[in-house]
Amino acid sequence: MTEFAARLHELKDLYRFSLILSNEPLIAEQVLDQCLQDILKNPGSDPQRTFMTLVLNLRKRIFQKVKPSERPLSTGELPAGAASSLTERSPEELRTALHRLSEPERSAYTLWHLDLMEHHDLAKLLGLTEEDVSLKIQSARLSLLLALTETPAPEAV
Amino acid sequence: MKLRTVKSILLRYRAGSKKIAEERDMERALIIAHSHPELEQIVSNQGPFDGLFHSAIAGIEVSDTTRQKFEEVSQVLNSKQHTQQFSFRNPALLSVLVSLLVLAFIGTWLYLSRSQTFPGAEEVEAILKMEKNSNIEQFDPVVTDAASLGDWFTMKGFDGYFVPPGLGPMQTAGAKIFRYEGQQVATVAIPEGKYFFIVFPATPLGVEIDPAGTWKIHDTEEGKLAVQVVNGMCFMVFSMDEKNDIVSLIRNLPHLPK
Repeated sequence: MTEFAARLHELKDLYRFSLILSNEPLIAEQVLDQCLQDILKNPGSDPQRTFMTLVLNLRKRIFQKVKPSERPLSTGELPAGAASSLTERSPEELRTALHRLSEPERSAYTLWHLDLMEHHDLAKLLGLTEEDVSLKIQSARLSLLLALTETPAPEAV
Repeated sequence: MKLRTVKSILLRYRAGSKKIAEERDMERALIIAHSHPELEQIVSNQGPFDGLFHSAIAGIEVSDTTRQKFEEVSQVLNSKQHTQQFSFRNPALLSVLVSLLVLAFIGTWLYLSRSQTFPGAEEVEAILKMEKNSNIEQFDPVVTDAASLGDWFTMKGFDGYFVPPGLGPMQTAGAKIFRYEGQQVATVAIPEGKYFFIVFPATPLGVEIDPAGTWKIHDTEEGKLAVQVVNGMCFMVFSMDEKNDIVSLIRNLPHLPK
């Protein structure tokens, strides 16, 4: 598989990223489609750069449609057993909680999960230092835990 | 590595990540964490937590329409990438083109510098060609030294004959005058070295070499020749014998008196 083909394979992850940011499948598809059209017009020679441009455009366009939420940052350490308090939560609930995160925590945590780029590239994309990206990831974890433990899980029918 | 840095690195640790596994710092941070329980705790707490969200994100399915679109884009981008290899935007191709342009420029410059080293070089070449194609029988037998032929040429109606210092003592075998483009051209045959001295008015033929008395070595199809202009008259010397080195001959001449 060529480098370019490998990059293209990651387009599905871009859709996932787009959906987390927008929380609307239709918007996610539309925005991704627009970005892909841009890339098709000017694909560039460096797959890495093309890909980064795609991610950046995706982010910008989603933010034009869906304003990022502004929640206070969470600091501290993840308590032991944090995961076990969320095991009742469905994937949809977890994704909604992810969507509700503030920026750049949401992008940092989602892109970090998708493993799309090196850490220094992620920092460059978000306009942060590498250390700040680590702190945003941690802040995202704490905010997610807080949000999901604050609201009770819906009862099973 | 400071503990603060180790902690910062560990915050982005995720088991199963290819990108993270390639990080050298992460490897070192994990080794350090093994000897620090509080750091190890960070890793063990965040692992299952991140695992839940990782599954939630990975569980997002792409619609059939989007999947189809991805495939189309993949094909187009792949074909564009292949086309890119032959595109003028391709840096490798661009550098080759630039190199070729530079070579072409140097080649042209060398060609021009060879054929046009000074104004009127074409006239000099034409006169040389005429001289080489002429017959030896056209020469009047005159045996003397080259510097003494001034009066002989004056009597024949040619004014301005001169021989540069150093070449004057060379013994002549014959001399003649012929016409080129309406101008008289004086020629002297020197048996030693099969040299020929040619003198003609420089200005009417547009031959200019500055400053006066400067020798120019000029490569022609007929061979090398040395040429100079003094007081509006052009003097050139060449040899019929290819073994003779005009450059050495001129280099050994004394400088012109000012």
